[in-house]
Amino acid sequence: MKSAESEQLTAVDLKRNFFEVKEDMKPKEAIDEANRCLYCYDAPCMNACPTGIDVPSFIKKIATGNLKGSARDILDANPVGATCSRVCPTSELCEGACVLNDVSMPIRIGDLQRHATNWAMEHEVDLFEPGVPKNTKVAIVGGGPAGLSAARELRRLGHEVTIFEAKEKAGGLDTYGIVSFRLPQSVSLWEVEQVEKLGVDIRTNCTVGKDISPETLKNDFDAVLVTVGMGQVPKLGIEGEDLTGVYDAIQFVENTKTKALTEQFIGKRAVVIGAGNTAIDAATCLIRSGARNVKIIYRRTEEEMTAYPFEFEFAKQDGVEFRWLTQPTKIIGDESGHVRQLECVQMMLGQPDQSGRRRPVPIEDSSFLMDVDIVVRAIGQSRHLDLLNAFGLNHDSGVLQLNADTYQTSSAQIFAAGDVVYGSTEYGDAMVVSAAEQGKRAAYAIDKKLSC
Amino acid sequence: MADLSVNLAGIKSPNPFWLASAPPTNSGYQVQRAFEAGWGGAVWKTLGDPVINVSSRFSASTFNGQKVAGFNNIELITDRPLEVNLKEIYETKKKFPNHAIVASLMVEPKQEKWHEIVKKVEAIGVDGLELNFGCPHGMAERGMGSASGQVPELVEKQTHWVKEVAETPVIVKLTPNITDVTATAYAAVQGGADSISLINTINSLMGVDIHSWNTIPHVSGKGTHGGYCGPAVKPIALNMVAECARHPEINVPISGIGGISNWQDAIEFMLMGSTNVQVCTAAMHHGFRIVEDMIDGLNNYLDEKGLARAMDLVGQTVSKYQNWGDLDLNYKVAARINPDKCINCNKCYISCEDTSHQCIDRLLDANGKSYLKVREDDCVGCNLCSIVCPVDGAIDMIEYPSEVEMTWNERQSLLGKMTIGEETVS
Amino acid sequence: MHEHQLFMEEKERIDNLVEQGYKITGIEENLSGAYVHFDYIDHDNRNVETQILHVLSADARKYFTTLLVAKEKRFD
Ligand SMILES: Cc1cc2nc3c(=O)[nH]c(=O)nc-3n(C[C@H](O)[C@H](O)[C@H](O)COP(=O)(O)OP(=O)(O)OC[C@H]3O[C@@H](n4cnc5c(N)ncnc54)[C@H](O)[C@@H]3O)c2cc1C
Ligand SMILES: Cc1cc2nc3c(=O)[nH]c(=O)nc-3n(C[C@H](O)[C@H](O)[C@H](O)COP(=O)(O)O)c2cc1C
Ligand code: SF4
Repeated sequence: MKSAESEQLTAVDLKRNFFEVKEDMKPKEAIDEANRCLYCYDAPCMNACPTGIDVPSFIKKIATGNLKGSARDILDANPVGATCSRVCPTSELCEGACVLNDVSMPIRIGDLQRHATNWAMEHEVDLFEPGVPKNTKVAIVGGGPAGLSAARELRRLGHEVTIFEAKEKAGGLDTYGIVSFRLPQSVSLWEVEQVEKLGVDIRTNCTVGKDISPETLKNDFDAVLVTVGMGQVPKLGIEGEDLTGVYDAIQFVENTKTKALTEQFIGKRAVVIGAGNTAIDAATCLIRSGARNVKIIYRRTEEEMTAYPFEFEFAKQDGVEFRWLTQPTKIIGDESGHVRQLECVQMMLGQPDQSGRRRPVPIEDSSFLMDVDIVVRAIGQSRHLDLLNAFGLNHDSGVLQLNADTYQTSSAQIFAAGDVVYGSTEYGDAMVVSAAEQGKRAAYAIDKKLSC
Repeated sequence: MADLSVNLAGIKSPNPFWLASAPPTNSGYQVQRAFEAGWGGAVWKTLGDPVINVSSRFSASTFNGQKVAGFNNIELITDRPLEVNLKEIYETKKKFPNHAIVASLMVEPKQEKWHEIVKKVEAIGVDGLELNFGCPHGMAERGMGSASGQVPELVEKQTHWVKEVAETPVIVKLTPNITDVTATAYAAVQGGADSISLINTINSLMGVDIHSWNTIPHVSGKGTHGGYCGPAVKPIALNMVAECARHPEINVPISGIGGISNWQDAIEFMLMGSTNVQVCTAAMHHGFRIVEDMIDGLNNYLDEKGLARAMDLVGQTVSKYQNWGDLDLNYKVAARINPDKCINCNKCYISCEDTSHQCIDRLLDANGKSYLKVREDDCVGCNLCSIVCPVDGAIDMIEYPSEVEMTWNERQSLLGKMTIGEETVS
Repeated sequence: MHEHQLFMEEKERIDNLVEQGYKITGIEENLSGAYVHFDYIDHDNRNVETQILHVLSADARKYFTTLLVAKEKRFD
């Protein structure tokens, strides 16, 4: 990667900075690694995968050159398995559970999964078929991983499925929110295409609650599945948030995925507020966009940070600096209304709060100024309160009330899955793989309900 | 430093590692490079009427990504005129007087043919002769190689013809493509052989290309059976060596061949009665330099065991190799899984459950952590679990020596005396 | 599955007879396992009673012959 400090960045360099960081496995590399797998019985890796991919089986198939079967194993259990191979925190999941951790190196399960799903992307094969038609109609609100996964399973079970998606393209955060250098948009869009190929009707540019009402869905469909995920990053609630140069991290990442890469960040000093994975993504995107200096500021310490250790490492390697126990209090602009400085206060850790983490408290008279050009907020995601209210569903500050067995909301006809239910709390980040699994399970619950 | 030198029926070499008669010993250039690398001897690529070879000759089996688990060839004997080979043998011997050079020979089963070649070869000075009664392909169709090596009378007769004129020790190289190798080994001894070497390659078809449906390898779309060697054949070769070694009437020294890839393999063959070993595939896979570790490993092993000479190894295990009927039925081993080392891959569990005696239990400890335990009473001691276990030391086969030894033969003789109706013995 | 249990039962039966003074006098092995003849012989060397055990398990078939072999070896 070229950074602003070392050389003069060009538009071509910028583009290259957003190419996938990790290379594909070479064919021999994949076979060698696949042959290292022990083919465990009742394998812990498989149990550690939220979607329950039969890991030893798909790896064995790579070893024997049966890449089609391998890809099928993966995508059967996980309709967004190509995305997951790139974005899953594997060291916390399958690879963390691999028995070889104890005696050698864990199998590179994520990379092997990527190898097999790459094959599927490169070869036009139909791995799945729609089921025998059942004369039942299901509406899915939101075409992210949860919605796509549910749609595919419902189609395989023979239901007619329509996805209503607010954005121009489906895929949710896979398409718009996860940085390109880890997940190229093409991967997410290929997964969308696979779902469409099964005969799922995806109506994009269609916001439920605006372009079509919840009532219409309830009337026209036998069941409705809500998989709208979460919303934008909430405001910090400090002075100066409307100045030019202040961004929402998710919107910022989305711009790098949907618009021509801008040269406006080259040489700039940026601050990202928050220390979850989204903050890391925004910070590394800024570095790759040419920012001269990028700091992540967080009011607690490294200990409480919710970003995964490997993400933290990645950011440090990209040159991101971290300022712990630092809380922004005011953004100061120049005459033209552009960010000039950030006022912060130094914090210390006090008594533990409900989450068990020590609550940060400001140190008196510790406020100081930082010269910055860009401020990015990455302090979590807001909830789709309006929509949930429009559906008339019970929720707790936007977190839907759900029956964990039936995936039903407070309305028996309406089901829900993904981030809209389980999404990020302060305790950790939501994952694509969990959204996919919940989508699957909601689909089976709907099928059960509609079949009786 | 132990004394690694060996003496096979009078043929001396600085160490037991010889190159077998095959492509590595095709020419003086190669054999000299081999001696420089450390090989103690070489059996020259088989001499005889120069042949014409086909192109596309070798193939190998890959197992779970491991290349050259077995190796197959449809090559014949030397394709160079005898004089050229003899000149190079002469030059090589002059440069390396202390290394063993043995000439491998194959001619039609006619007395005058054997006399002619033996005299010519011995005239330029070799340390010994090896009669190739082994190659299973090509030459066999012409009545030579394994075609004569499979018929004990032909082995005996040809060995005898050679012995009529030979002045150097005669080694007879045996083919494994026979039901009982001791029959031809015995015939060689009867013919006057000073030593036997085994095994040559095993009849094989390496594979079929599932895309083109051609054989592997194929020569312009047609294939033929070849000779199999390399690591995959080692157990077969070792058994054949052992059967000859323990045979009371096959009392000549043995040169062991077949799948030997490192010093451990070589030691096994020596313990089983080989005075030296010959290697082909391992050298073809990795080059002559692999002998360095063979020598070093053998030397360290001998030092560790406190043995002064490599020859002290020869035959030490032979007396332990017996008939099944002489094994103690009351000896028991049972598997024990060591929870500290076990990584919980469950491979032992599923192999025992599905394919052996269902005596491994999956249990939960007080903390809810799963662990595996063998019901030792039900364990028959088949070893399968410890074979499939990927971690050294995670499964021990615990020995339970018998209080009363009872072999099947003993039991049978007892039963013979106890047939119903006969008088009481107990 | 629990082959060992069968062995223990058969062994117990064999041991019982031996304890009561029975001696193995004849063995017939065939496809069905072993039929072991136990005779009780009194002081006058008269055969008073015969019992036949049908022994199935491999370990028990090994066991009763081991008893005999042990005895033979002790006398050697
Ligand atoms: C910056 C960022 C990085 C992340 N990185 C990772 C990662 O590396 N690994 C990982 O596992 N997870 C990551 N996540 C989390 C992961 O993206 C989410 O958990 C996952 O996408 C949730 O899936 P979902 O289908 O529930 O919601 P979403 O992906 O959010 O999809 C919801 C969809 O609903 C649509 N929608 C919303 N409202 C309406 C409406 N009213 N009408 C119609 N459609 C509507 C949206 O446009 C969207 O397409 C990341 C999240 C963020 C924000
Ligand atoms: C390509 C090839 C050619 C061979 N040619 C001969 C030969 O000419 N004469 C001979 O006696 N054995 C020949 N052999 C057999 C080897 O000498 C040796 O017996 C056999 O390969 C087993 O040893 P290995 O497992 O170490 O390879 C040949 C083997 C190979 C692989
Ligand atoms: S735990 Fe590791 S070794 Fe075992 S099957 Fe899974 S990837 Fe293979």
